[in-house]
Amino acid sequence: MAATSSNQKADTGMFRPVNVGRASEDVVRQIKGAIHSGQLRPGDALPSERELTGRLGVSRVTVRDALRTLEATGLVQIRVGARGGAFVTAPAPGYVGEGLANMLLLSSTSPEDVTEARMIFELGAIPLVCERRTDEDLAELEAICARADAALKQGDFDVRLSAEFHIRLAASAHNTAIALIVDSFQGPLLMSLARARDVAPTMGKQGAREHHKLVEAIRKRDVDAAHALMERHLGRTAARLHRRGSAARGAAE
Amino acid sequence: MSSDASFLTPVAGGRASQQIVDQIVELLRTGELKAGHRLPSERQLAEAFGVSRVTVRDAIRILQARGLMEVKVGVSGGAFVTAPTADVLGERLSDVLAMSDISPEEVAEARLVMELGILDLALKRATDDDLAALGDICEQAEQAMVDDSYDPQLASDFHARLAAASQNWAVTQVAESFRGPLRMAALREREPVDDAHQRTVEDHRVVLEALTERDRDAARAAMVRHLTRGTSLT
Repeated sequence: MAATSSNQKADTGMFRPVNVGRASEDVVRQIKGAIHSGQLRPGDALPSERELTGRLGVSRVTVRDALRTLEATGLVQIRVGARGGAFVTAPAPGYVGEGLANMLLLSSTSPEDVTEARMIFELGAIPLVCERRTDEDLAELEAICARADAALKQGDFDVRLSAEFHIRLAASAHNTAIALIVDSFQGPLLMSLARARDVAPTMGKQGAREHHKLVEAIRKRDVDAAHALMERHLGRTAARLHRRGSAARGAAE
Repeated sequence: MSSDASFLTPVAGGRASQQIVDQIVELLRTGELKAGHRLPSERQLAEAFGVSRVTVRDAIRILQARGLMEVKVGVSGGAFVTAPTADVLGERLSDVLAMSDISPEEVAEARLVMELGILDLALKRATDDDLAALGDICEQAEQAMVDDSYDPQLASDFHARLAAASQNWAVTQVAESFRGPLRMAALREREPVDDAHQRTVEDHRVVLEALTERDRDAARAAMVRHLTRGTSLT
């Protein structure tokens, strides 16, 4: 991101007067629209409260309401002081993952279903990874495997090492959207839903072996082998969850 | 749950409204608060948290913005827990993609990955009902082209119904969320809009026929052709 001092103050010409329904929601929508279309970029200053009030034809309270909502969402940062104001800010890491976790956690969804949704993107990325992986990608994947091996030896393997591997593997597809989506499935919240933490100790050794094999298949750009390995690797988790799920349901009945 | 506020603890220091949000989100995650539950009144919450009503209102606004809370007015009104809709998640992906330097090709590729994954599940699990519903959508779209009343929503409906054929709720919801941010129309700069609709309608029919035959290779090839059409992906 460019330094604040070089940022242009956004032109108010991109906004139009508000005329419907809940005014502050409309203000939020318009500002988000300007962000989505690229008219507002991270670091850009929004027009002042007074300018927005005049341009949008709403009260200062309404503008302030909208800015607070945007701030709460994590898209706008409000700074006080002489150089203060509202600035567009890039959302924190985990922003999409949190949305995904909220959506799936607050509805009745099963861990197996979530794993299957995750597999769509991780399996789908395999051909792209095989085609585009660089030597640097391979080196970094190997480094993660080495750290996992060491952790297993010391008995302090953490499921986060596994998540890191999967995220780095997906990043080797060199597609920002795919990397982001795979990453958002690896958030701590969803993983706890999938009860991956419980199964980590047993999946540690076998999982680590499979990670090594995956790196080898990707090195050889062997799509079929990598795909089959990933399918078995993730499918094993899904199957275990399924058994655990059935056992738990059986016990409850 | 609506009147008992004993599960809340007073807030100390920092940004009070954020701490209230964090406490409530935690209760949602542990399942102590569930979709449909009504929060205690503003006054009760203010007392329980040891903050002003303004702060409580602030917190509820933040929760509303995240799609976790719905405020209803009237006698039986109040702040109700809701499960966020697919739109809320889709917005988040749109936000991040808009702020990253992502190319239209990357977006198209991500969409292709998603749709091929969904197609594989549908090939395994689509029921007669699924196929019939997809057939209805195709028919409606074909008729609309003839009547010159085509609505692009029909294309979206086709992909949504295909996702539902995965018989997996998480997949259906994720697809619903991501279809907007990964929309193709903006990427198909290379063909006139009218042609694009006609070809989309034809493409969907070919995908459906292959799906009905459980011909994986043909179905995947049709989906790849459909989604790479008019883009610079090959």
